[in-house]
Amino acid sequence: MRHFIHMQATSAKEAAQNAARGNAMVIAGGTDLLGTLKDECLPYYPAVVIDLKTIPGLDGIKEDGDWIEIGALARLQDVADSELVRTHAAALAEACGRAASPTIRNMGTLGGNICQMHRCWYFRCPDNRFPCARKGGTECPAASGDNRYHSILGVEKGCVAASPHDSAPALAALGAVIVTTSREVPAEDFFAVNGCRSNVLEDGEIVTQIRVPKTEKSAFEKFALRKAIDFPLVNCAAAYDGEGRIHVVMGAVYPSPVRMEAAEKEVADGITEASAQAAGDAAVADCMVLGKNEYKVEIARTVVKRTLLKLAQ
Amino acid sequence: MPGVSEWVLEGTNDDRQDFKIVGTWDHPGRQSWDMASGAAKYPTDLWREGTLTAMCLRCPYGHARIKGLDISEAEKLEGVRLIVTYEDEEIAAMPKYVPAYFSYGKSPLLGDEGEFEGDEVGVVVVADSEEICRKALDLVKVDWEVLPFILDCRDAGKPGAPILRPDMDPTTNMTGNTFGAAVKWEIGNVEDGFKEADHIEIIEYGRPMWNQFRSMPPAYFSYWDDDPWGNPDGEKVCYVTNHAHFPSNGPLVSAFQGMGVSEDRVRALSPYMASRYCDFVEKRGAQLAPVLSKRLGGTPIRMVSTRRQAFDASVPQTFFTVRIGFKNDGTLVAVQSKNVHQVGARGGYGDKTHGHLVLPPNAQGFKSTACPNIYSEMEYYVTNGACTTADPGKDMWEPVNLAFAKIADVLQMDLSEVIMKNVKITQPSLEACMKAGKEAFHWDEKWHLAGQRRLEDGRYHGVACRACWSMTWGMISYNINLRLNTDGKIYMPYSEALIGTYWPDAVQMVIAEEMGMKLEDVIVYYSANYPNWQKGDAADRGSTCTWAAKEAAVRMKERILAVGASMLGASSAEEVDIVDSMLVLKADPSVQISLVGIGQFGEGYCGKPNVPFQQDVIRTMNVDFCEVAVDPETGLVEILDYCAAHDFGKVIRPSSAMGQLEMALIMAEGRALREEIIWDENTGVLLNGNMYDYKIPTALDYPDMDNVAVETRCGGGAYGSTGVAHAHTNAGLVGLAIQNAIGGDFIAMTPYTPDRVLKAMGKIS
Repeated sequence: MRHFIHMQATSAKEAAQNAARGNAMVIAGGTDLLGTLKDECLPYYPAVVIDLKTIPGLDGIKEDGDWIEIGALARLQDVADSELVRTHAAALAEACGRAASPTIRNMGTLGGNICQMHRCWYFRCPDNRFPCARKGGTECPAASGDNRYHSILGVEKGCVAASPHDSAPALAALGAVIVTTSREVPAEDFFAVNGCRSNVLEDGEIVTQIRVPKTEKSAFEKFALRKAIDFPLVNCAAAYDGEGRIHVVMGAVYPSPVRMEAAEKEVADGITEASAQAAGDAAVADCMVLGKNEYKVEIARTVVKRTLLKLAQ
Repeated sequence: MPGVSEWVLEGTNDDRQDFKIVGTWDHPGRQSWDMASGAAKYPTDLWREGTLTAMCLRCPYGHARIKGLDISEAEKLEGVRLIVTYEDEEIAAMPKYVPAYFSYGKSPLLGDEGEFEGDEVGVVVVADSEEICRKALDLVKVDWEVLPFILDCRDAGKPGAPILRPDMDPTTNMTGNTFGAAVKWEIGNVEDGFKEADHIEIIEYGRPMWNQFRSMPPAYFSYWDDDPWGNPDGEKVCYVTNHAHFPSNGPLVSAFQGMGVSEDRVRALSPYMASRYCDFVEKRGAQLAPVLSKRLGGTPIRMVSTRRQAFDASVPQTFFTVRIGFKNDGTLVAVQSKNVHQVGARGGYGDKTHGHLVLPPNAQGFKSTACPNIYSEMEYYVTNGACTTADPGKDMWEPVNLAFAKIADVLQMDLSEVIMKNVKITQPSLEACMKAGKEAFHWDEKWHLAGQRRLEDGRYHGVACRACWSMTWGMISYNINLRLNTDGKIYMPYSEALIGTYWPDAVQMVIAEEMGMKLEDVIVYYSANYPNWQKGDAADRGSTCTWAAKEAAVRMKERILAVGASMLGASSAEEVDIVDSMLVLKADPSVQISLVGIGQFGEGYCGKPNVPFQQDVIRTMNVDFCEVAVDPETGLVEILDYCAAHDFGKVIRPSSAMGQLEMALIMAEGRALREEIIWDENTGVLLNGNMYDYKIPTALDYPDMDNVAVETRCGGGAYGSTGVAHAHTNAGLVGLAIQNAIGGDFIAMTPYTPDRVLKAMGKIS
């Protein structure tokens, strides 16, 4: 890894100001960033890495009326273990508990999880071997290459990577809000292909808090080849909103998590084995598979069904 | 029962029963303790004042040649100490090390041709740090000629395939991508056999490339310093890390090939190396590190690889297509087998070069059955899919067992019965393993016809078993020397590079057992460049090293007793014994003296068990059982239970023996369900060179295991012991269990990922 200036921020505002000056990146748990720096897989290398862990008060998990406020620096394992989250946002607790491995969950933060870059193996190839459309290139090598883990719902801004975040579908289904140093963004709108980023953050903008509305019932399912470490092949979260409607969000099937409104309609009158199956079918009705990922359709269909059946338990 | 092979055990002490130490638990051996506690020093842990880092340029293309180099900007970079290119005269004169019997397509130590993406090629930089090395390599201007590449060995044999190695022998070159004609082998008359058959079926089995360095990228460390003897000729001694358990003293051989330095000028720094699977893989860094250090006046050089770069060594692809003929009673009567096998870009280590594979693997396996008519043919092709190691042979059992499973499926027979009907065995090993394994696994309760059982959670349930066997691999001569010191302890030097094997801890137990010593009074210690291996092939430690240790211990004990008899007033050595490290008068055990101070003796033995090699002889058997659950909706397979019933002959060190089984089965779990090296078909670039995307099992993925140690005492090593692990790492057993779960055809390619399972179930096209 190359040398860089390690700056320990004392406040989010200070961190944002320094990040806005360019050629800087922010680090919290570091479980994603350090890998990208070691591999030099990005078209740029930061001169400054701003450490957010030194900012006091950003790792709390607390109750605020009908909301749960989670500091961006809250570790994934802490979120998974939080009785408050487990009771009122079960899908998020389970999602955080299924992310990565115990070691990584005890380093990685919720803020980091929603800000991690995509895991596409072309995008992540060391030494920026594939300068794809996300990095200023014109083509997506995955579209014509080995795309077994990639999008089954089409292209987003020239990219067919699969969203890697386990927490993202849960946050979107729960109706969470992402609080940054400059605005509040609904989780459903937060994730997007944005250069090398997987979200709508702009230079100098830092996530400070995740606000999650309390929900009595929510559920999360993840399909991965291994029981630990792996990013999702497909994941899904479902939750009741304040008006009793079911929200269904799938991850790892498109560059951003996708709300499955067609699936939601199938279970609008209640979740049964048949309606859950219909919801799964509806979720994958418009799939656009690539050369090597047809199998993900079957998995997605099943994961949606199982998430809903879990929600109904 | 079909034919039983016969052989003679000579002096293996296979009838000894009175073991006091051998076969007992709770002995934390020196090597085991070091590795488990983290005390073991691996090459990556080594550092001395002034150490510099070295890194190679890596080929960014699937196949490319350097047309021109400009290193001028890199040389100007502060912190760069040395840059060597393929045009360097000394380097150009040094071939990359290969085993002595390897005679095909030698690769230069640092050539101008990148044979695969990630290959070390053209330039090596020595600098103050890894960061400066990388910057310097970025500043090297390379004019590449991008060449065609081949990733699948089956493609290499097709008409019109790019010719990767036009320099290969034109008289034997079938397509330009192989270094010899197909290997053919036949017994009986296959066509007559098929006429006799009641059923004829085709079976297929394939494996992708698997990573060789599973959990730790290799590194190499070397420096030159004054000879402890003095330097009358000014020549220094090279200190270098061990890096290969084969052949003996890997660094001694490989580091100095072409340097004109004799072996006495080298000291191996550490017995430990990066973890790896199986043999070979002599990487360039092992040779380059001492060369670069010498150039810089002996400065310590640390040559490092990234995780991704450690994917430049792999277990090769292999593909079997087998036509089988069998009778209604399940007897195999005809086999026509074809194997297409991958070797490295310059020939790698192909089957023809590998000592224990004088037959193609498919023949090797089937010839151990009772089938009278076998025709086997093997083709091997160069590719650009990273340099491949040896290891073509352990999959030899997969098509054989696939044939048994196919027979069982067609005839609706119990698979275990088909195995027993067709395997030609050394008694009583197979029967013992099958019996013990079936009991431990509860086979009779679990076995069913294909597609007949579901679990309560709705998943398909399947089971299978597989017989594998160890051929006569006892062909290594081991060199064991023992010394009784004045402190009354027995000392044994060793220096072999260690990976997952625990032979120093095992031989310690054998020596203590044979001599009557307390285990703690037998000291096995590391001695740089002491040659424990004399010659031969791998996979034998569990047998031949203990054999040699036993023989040396017997001789040493005779020496001690001869001296001790007079000290105890006995008239002959027969009247005294050694018990718990004390010299004892047999007639009155209360009369005893310590070995401390009775003198210093040295005894040794260099040799191997007197067993035949490569005859139609089977050493010991093992039968593995596997139970799977298959998700009908997602195709995800979970291994519910593994059971390896392994005939060790005699277990020397139980924790090592059973640990080897567990490790091998865990490896098998990964290879069966997920592991494969994946290359971009458009560019030849490695895609999954990291531990996220190359999916070895995590601790949560470890299956339940109910392994059984069988001891028939019919191995060739000490007390009838034999080796362990290779066969259990095979992936095919899981495929047989999957077919038993879902019915239909057997899946022809590993790993058994959801896409392949869903396809087999007809869920996707």
